[in-house]
Amino acid sequence: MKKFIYSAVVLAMTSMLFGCSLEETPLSKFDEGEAYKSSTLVYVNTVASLYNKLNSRFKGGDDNYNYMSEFTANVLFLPGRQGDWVDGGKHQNAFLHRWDPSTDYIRSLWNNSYSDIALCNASLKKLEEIKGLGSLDESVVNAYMAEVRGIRAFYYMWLVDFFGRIPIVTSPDAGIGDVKQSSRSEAYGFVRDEICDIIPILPSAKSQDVNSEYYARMTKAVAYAMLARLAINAAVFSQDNWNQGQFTGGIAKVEAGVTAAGNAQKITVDGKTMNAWETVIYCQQQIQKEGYELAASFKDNFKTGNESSKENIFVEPMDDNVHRTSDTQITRSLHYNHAKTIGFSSWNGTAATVHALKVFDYKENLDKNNLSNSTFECEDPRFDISFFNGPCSVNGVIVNAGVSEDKYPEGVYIGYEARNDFSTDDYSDPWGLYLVKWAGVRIKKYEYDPTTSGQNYFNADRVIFRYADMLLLAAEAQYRLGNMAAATELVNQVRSRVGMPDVNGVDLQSILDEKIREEIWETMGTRGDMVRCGLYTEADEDKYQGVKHAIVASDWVYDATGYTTVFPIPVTVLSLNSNLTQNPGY
Amino acid sequence: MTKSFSLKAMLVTVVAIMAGVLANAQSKSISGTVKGEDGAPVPGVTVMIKGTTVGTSTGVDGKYSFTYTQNNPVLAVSCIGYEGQEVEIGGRSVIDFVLVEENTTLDETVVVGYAVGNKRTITGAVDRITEENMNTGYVSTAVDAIRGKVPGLVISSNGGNVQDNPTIRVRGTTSLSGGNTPLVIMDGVFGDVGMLFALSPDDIQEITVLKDASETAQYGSRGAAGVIVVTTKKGREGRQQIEYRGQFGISNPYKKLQVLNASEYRALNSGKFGGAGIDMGDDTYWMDWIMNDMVTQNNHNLSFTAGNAKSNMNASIGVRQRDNVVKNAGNTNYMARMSASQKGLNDRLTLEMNVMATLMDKDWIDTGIFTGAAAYNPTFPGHRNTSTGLWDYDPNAETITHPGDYLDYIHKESVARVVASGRATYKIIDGLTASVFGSYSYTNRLNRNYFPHDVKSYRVARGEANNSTNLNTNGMASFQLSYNKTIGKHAISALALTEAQKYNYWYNYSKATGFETDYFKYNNMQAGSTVKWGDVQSNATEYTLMSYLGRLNYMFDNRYVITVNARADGSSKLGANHKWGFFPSASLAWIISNEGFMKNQRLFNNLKFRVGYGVTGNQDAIDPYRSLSLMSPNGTTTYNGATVTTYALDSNPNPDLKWETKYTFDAGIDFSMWRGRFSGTIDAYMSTTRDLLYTYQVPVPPFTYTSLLANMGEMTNNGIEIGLHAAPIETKDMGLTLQGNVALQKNKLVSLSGTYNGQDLTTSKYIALSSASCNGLTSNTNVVYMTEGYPVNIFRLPVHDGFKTDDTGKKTYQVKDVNGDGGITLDDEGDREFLGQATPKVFASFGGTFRYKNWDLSTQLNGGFGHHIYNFTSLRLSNLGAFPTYNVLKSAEELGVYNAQHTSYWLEKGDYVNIEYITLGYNLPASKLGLSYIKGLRFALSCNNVATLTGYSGLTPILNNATIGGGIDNNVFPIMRTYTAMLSVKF
Repeated sequence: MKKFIYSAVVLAMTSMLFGCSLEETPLSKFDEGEAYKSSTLVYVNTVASLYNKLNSRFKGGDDNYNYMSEFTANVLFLPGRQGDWVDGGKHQNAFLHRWDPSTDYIRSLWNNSYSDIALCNASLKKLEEIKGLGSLDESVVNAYMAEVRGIRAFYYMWLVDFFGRIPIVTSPDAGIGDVKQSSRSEAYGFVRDEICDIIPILPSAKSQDVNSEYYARMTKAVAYAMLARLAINAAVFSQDNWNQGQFTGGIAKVEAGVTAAGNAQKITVDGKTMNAWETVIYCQQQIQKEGYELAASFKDNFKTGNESSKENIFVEPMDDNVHRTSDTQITRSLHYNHAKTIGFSSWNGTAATVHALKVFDYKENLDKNNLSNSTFECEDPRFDISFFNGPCSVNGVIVNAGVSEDKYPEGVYIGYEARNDFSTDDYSDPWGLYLVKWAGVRIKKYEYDPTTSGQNYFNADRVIFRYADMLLLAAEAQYRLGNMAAATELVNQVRSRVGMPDVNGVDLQSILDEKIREEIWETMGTRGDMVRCGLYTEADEDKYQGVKHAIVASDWVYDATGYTTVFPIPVTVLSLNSNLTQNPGY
Repeated sequence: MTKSFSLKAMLVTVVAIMAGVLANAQSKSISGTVKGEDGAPVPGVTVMIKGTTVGTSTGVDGKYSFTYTQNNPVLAVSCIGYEGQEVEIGGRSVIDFVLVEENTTLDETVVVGYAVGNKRTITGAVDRITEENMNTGYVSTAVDAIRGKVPGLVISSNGGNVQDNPTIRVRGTTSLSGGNTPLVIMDGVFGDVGMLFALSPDDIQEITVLKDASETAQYGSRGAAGVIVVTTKKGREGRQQIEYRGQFGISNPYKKLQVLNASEYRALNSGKFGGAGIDMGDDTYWMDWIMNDMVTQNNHNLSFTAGNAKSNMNASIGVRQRDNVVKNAGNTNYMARMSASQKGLNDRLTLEMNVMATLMDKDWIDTGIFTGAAAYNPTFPGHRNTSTGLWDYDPNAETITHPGDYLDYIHKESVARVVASGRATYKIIDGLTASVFGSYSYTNRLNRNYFPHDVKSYRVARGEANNSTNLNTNGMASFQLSYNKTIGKHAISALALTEAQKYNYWYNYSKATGFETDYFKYNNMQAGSTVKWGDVQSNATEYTLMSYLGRLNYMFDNRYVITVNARADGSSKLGANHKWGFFPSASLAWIISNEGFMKNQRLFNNLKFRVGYGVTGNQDAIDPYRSLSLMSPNGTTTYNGATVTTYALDSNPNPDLKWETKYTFDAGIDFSMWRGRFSGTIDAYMSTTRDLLYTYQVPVPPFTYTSLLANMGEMTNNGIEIGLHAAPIETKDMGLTLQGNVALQKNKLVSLSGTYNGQDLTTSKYIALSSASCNGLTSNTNVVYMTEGYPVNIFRLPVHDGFKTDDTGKKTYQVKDVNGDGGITLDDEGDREFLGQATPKVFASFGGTFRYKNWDLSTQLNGGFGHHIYNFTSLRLSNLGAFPTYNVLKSAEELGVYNAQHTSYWLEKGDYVNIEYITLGYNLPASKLGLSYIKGLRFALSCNNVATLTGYSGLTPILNNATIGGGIDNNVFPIMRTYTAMLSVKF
């Protein structure tokens, strides 16, 4: 019996020991001990993985930089089409500037940006450690660190634009108590200094070139483009009390003040100290020296295989095999029937605003009794490249309207009938449902490649920085510095490329309009341009008077102070960290 | 040693069963009558030659007779409710018995976790359901069998949905995370609720529900949500039986959503809407179109058992097939189970084994089909277009999916489960036993999906096939010493246990798109032309638990009982400094009826007062590795010309992760009066859960991601449970038993703050738990919330402030300016109010059985009270603003609302009573049948879901509102009424 007890006890003890350590050894994930074991893994996990995150910041959705920049700046909008796209009026509110601290896309934009910044900080800490180990060449590690700082500065640049008073966090070990808001000018100063610091370290490679090691990575030219974008807005970003009316009331009212503020901003880059406007011009020239120029054809920048464009400075790589980021921007825009004809299903949403159509000088003569007698014309060829408008045909077949075919046999995008909200439209009007579903010209610009594996995958890279924009920024800077001839020449460079006649002179309004025609639906910062010109808060006849807005979205409220030029700090961010305070006016 | 030994024992057992007991040629007969103390004959009494399988049972007249061959046999009689008797035959040929009723049922064996005790010595809140008092209507799973039987045990499903497993809660929501489902222990094997659904109710001997910590503390880190202990049927000495049970049912949905039919749609479209809607000229009532008028249910279970003094076995095989009310959906379960035991070494050694194998095959339907069917234009044809071969799609109705597409999707799931366990128990000295227990369970869930290339949503991808395998295995070993001894007035029962468990999980997924043909479905992935990065995935996790348990149960003089449990658990999933937890409990019972001063009263035959306190834990919400900082693939890039995978931190690690701990105080009274004619249990409990595990929102920055699994906050659950049982009529020919129970529950979230890495963390004031959205609905679609000071599932909605009518007569919902700031904001902190809880405050159940001669009639009513339901289905389908693109309810035109907006208008009281079943049974007396080999025959007819009494205007108030964020009526399956014919035969 004793023997049995002993055996049983021994058995029990051994069974306890069988694989019963309480230490964890992960099986399908790994920790830092494994993640940086080779030089390839160091690059992949400290640098390359950050680009994969960055790329998803531009895909179609509400919480991306494109939406915040374009949809709040009276160039694109998402009309509430009866029940569709109403979503509580959030898109209508973006158009009407009726966002509030709980608006979801503002919250998730904040969280996503800071999430990526946190990964940048972790990479920098890791690279510092690796540098200490001496296993990799120090210059290689320094280059990686400059690249990561560039990515981080890119995020911070957007955050300064959107949120003004933001916390600058540079360590992955920061606690909640360490997260404190900087003033907008401090945050701006941080970004400026970071970019100026890394420019000498970054390589002079072509970022848009798919054959380059630096394809879609931070290069000197990308950093100059960032600095140009920052410098053109330095007059705005450097002001801590932006709600004193200095950015409201239109161009005439704000121009002199902004120009003076830009003159006062000193930026030191490559050992040269310049004011903000001079910096913009310097950056444009440096980018030119790096080998960038206007592409022969405007369209080349957006076609499948646009990696060959010498104009694109920084792109979000799109490739159905390696850089697979789904982008729903086109899907969100096209009418169902039209999309169906080119082979996919879409959501009938985004359209160009009436203001944007006027900027393009788009002409539409509508015959409501017979749509085929209507005409849709625009002199500027960029309009047809950027938008589906008028009767839509695919391979020569006109797209069906899909509603009561006897009345409306054709699917026609009616530009000027686009309104922010159609929920009060009456169906008893024979045109009611037709307008609701087809009003507004729709997004085209990037070439759709039918060979990709899904409808939201593309083989045309998305443009983040483009040389044409640098020329137009430089044009504004020249104008601000009083060099009218130089400004006009720069604008005409952009115009003549698309065959538009030269202009004899420019002002802020015409430069801004040129930018819209050139860059609509790219993430070029239309919002920033409008703030700087004092137009962001202004109503115009399409946006305000006599325009049906939305039942749920309330109405446009004139902001005379300019507090809406900066978005509110999301309410969840404030409630989770009591160190932070709300932006003025909200 | 034990391994080979138990194999041998198994062989011995099997051989013994096969061979039976060898018979001797000399046969003698014995007969007699068995009567009760009142002189009435007692039917159904087992009369056996002791130690053999020879014997019979008494007929309705109490008479028995059989032949035997044994020498010097002992005749044993036994019957439930009576004390057993044994007598030597001694050459007699006629022996009559007078049975004495058992005074109480207090000495029945009850499995209380690791311990085996009896009702007398139980000091905690324990409910026991045996085969006799399980539900009698259409019962398809073990869960159906006990629904409504235990106060405080809530089984909640979404309408008549049979494809999802119902939610099970013991004493409500005690955790905010995944650990709310009770632990299921089947014959000593740690399982999950899935095991309960896999098991046939016919195979269950009893289910014990441990509710308060004084007993659940035996399970330490996993006991917080209650424990359901299942004992399957075992062979019994002197019993030899074959039994078949069958149920044949037909079901139909007895209420459907009432949307406009084609002619009503046309009338509204051409009237108010100027004919703007598309009229395809057809007439399809999609709600009927997606459903079967009538579906069938079939259960078959065949079992056989045999036993003698040394060996016992019980085996069963069964199949349960159940169609869903929606087309192309249903499930079929196959089960096989066997248990055997063998004694050896002069009866000192007992070897036991249990094996269960089940296979559940399911065809799933996406619940979005209800939205699709309700809102799809009824003038569209219910067949594919003859020229295109495709469904005709409404080009404007882009926010819903065509019902035909839903039916074309193929979702198949197969869950194969094998559970095997073995135990060797050795009696060392009288009262002291040692046992070694080992178990292994293997669950393989295989999912296969195919989306045809010609359905709309998959046309661009040209079809998609995806297959996945989830493999869960769990091995366990334990060693236990038990000591049971009665010395004079002292009865001691003690045990010590060590236990180790290892869980492994492995997952594999593959997807292909680009199918030119639908011929292969998911069976040939190579037929798909496109496979991209991320289309093939796998992952694996494992974790380990080590435990030590000590338990002492001491009774003095049959009057005072004390139970003490102490368990220590170590888990690999927790933070480095929190691996081990300690879970003690203590409880006392005072059996008042055994006191001297109670001797002369006849009212109470049992009166017991219990009180207990204990600590239990919850770790089920924690996935392995959550305390570690780990990196996962997040995409690919090119480097040096090659495609390489990039990695990034995948979630916020929490090195502080620890158990969620629940502290429970329970006091209860058990009583039995008038010789057991009226009995009951009343319990009151207070529990507090601390270090609540939840995926909290954390600030970014400094965190990398917005959510963190952390231990924060505190929640209380208090309640009263009353269970009553009465047998007002109890004669030979007639009997009436009634039972009812009520459970009152009060849940409160006390705080939601805590620390992480030494920093104080607070959460948002109002945490949204669930939302509901449809086209045209307002931006903040949150509906159910939690916040400090309120129950967890609380509705927080904009307050309905009448309708605004515009100059064209269209009405829209108006929202009250609750905070009086002059504007309406619908964010979480804006113009919203707390408007009632989603989880019922009171659950009640009432049932009874009336027996007359061979007939019996039983019923059960279940109800929930004091809660609200958010009728989102009606809100969504009452929006004329979405018409004519989307169809609406018949009632929508009269309501005349032209928008969709969350307001309290659609928040309704959810009180209901559901008549679960009415069953009429007839036990055909074997004597009447004239077939000696049939021991029993029973027929029954049953109707399940007879009616629901409620003021709720939606489809059904029976929703899954026990889960976190439950209580919203959205895509609920219609309740099915089932008519069943049942047959059971015993040989």
